[in-house]
Amino acid sequence: MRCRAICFTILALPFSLASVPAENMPSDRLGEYDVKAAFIYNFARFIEWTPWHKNGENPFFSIGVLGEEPFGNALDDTFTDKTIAGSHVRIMRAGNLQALMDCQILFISQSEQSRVDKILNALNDRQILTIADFPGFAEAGGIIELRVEENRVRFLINQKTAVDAGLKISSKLLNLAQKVITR
Amino acid sequence: MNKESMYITEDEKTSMDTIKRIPVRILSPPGIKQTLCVFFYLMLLFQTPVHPLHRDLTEMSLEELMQIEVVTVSKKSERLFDASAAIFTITEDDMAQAGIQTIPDAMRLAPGVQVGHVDANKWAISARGFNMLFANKLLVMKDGRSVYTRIFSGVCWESQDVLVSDLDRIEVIRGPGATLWGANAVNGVINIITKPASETQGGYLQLGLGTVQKKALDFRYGGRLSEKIWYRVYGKYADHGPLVFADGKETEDGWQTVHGGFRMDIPWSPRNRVTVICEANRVHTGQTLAPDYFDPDLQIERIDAGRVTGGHVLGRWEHTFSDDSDCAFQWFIDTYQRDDPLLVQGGYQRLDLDFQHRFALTARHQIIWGIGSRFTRDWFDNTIVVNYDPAERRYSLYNTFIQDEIRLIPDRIHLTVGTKLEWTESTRFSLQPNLRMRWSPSSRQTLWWAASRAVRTPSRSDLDVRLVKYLFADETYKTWGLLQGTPGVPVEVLYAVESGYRLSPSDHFLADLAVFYNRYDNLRTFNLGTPFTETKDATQNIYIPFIAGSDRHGESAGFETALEFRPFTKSRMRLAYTYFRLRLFMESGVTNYRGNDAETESPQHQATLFFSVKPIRHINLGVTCRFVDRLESLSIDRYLTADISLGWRINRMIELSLSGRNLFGGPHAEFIGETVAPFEKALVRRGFRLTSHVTW
Repeated sequence: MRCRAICFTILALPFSLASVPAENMPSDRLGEYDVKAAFIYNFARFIEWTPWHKNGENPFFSIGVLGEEPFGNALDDTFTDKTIAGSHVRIMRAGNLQALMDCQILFISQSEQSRVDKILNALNDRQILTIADFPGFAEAGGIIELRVEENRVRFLINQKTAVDAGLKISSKLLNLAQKVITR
Repeated sequence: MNKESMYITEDEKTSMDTIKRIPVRILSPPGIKQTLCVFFYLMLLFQTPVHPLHRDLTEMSLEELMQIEVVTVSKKSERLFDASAAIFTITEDDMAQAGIQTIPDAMRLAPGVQVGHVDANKWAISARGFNMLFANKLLVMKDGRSVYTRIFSGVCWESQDVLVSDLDRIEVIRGPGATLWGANAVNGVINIITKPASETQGGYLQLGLGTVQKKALDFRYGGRLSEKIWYRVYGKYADHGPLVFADGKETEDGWQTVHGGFRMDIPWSPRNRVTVICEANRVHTGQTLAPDYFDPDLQIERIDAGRVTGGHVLGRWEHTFSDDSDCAFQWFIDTYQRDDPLLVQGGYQRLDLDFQHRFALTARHQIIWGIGSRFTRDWFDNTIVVNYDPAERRYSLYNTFIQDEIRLIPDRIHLTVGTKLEWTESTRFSLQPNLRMRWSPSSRQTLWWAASRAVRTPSRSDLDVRLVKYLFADETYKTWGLLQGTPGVPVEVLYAVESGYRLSPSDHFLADLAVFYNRYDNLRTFNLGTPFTETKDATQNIYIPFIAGSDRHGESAGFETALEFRPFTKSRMRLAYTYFRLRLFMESGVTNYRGNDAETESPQHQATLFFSVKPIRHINLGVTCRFVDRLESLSIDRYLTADISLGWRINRMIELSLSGRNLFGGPHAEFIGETVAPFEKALVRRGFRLTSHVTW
């Protein structure tokens, strides 16, 4: 095992050096998805989660990313050592919805934009917080839509879908939302 | 604005491979170290980029988070990797690392572009062949303004100066881009894009001293007038030394250029943005004339000088309706005057109006359409070599285009269909359609195909020129060659098919390949006519006329590859190789001035190896090796040479760099202007340059 680890290390060394981020980003700004990941963390905290697991079964709080993943490591970095409602967090990524049906938060990537209606229908009022960052998501029945306006992240909430899904969103979050859809 | 070239995938998404391999990543619970370990290594191998988290964002409140400015992943950069065209980007960084100060030298980094110094202040630059002093099949745009002139049918490169520090990127699109860009985007389009004023804030001063580029001073200051009005003012002076003759003596083609201007960017509301650019320039060029071009009785001084003045004002208003719908209105006025009493005296003014609108018709159809018009007025004074009949002309151009990008399978298979319809007085309507398809099997691979038709509108010279060239004399006669334009000569037409493949298996490697086949019809010829005599001032003159026609066709084929390898963040290696062949076929019974020489006026093989490394912190070393094959009909030999640049960043404000160009192989010729104008052959030579700049 150790031998293999050393081999791996040698093989990976040149690449790990390369993973030092390039100086292509102005230092006073942050990557869009780093900030979006932090938003997701906050959303998770401002929602009252009813227990989703029966005794002994699946103790994790699961966040799913459906479709092509835009976060890089941002989600993993954000949720390392964090707990939501007392549970450790795991990040799952998949191309099809079936693998992610047990998630508590489902981030739907822009690559899935064209089939968003199908996805939302398939979720069928499960207690899943759906988040996406393409326009029209909240109107289409998604719960939280992230936007970037003037380089700052904003969000919209579809309160009706949230209620249907049995999610209780704190009033603080609702107050900060750019728009709350209630019908 | 995206500073990175198209294939730099630092901002790119995790590859699908990674996703498939690691369907679930479990984070914190203990006992899964091995999984984490394996994942860690895989992650390193597949390079999911890590952005620096300067602060722990999870400790910030939502209110604080909402105040953070984010860098959006540029849609442009994604589009470039996915572009269904042969596109290559040269950034400010590339130029800085390679020690490049001028746009023509920057173009040498791009695959598929032929760059040749004619003399110190003149270049022949083209893509995919047909290179000459006024290469007429390459469209060049600078901040949305076409700098291709229909008068000389080409680009006056000496007036296209730019502060490298303000440059955002140069996009080089090989192959026809006529549907979007319009006429004369036949063999390629070059887009020179400078940064918005908001990205060039603060002061910048650069001083350069060198043996070939003797003195240069760049200055810029950027600030904001109010919260929403950003500006920069800038100026540049450069004194370039001459090239050399074959015997090693200096030519007389040294030149000085000064230009200055300002740019304002006003994002006055989230949905509206206004840009104003205003610039003026003055260039003083020297040149050495080829002696046998002129009548020896006139005793023409071989040393000649020209003066170029120009300026432009451009305004652009961009409005965003929604994420996938926006429009832009742009206008510009520009003027150009060249005073060269022996050769050409003339200039032009242009007014250009342009409107574009992009919207999503349905989720699958992204439409972009536009209308535009351009009004030109030009004037000439006769010289002993050139005159135009009529000496003044006004002409206009109207165009409209529509293009639909159809997402057959979103982000996988996209089809682009579009056409441009253009009208000019001399050529009436011409249609320039294209059909493009791209297939992205994954986010790291793109395959594309394209078929297009493009036209080159006849230049003022094609229509109205009278150019005389002295040939020889005996006791009774003087014999002249006479190049004569033909009013109503038709457009040159290109039918092109292209295909390309891009692969980026990891963020460290990118391969880009494009192959093409072009078929040209109605190519310009100057057909031998019937000689005639004319008696003038008691001298008998025989004129051998060559009259503009469109009596040949041709085909060209080739491929261009670019490989980029970035073993470490601070180092990279790029290899570009181009293979090109052109065959021309004259209609029977036609004798063209210079025959089919153009076949071998573009190199068959061309390669560039660019290598940049940071051996120590704050030190950057850039090496460029260039090989260009021989140009047979111009009797120019193949050459291999290298440029080296060493940069030292002393502190946050001051940077020093030393660069050497054309270091190996001795003086060599790159191109000859004599085929179109009487310029003596000049050789480029080794040059060194020391530059220092201060930013504050």
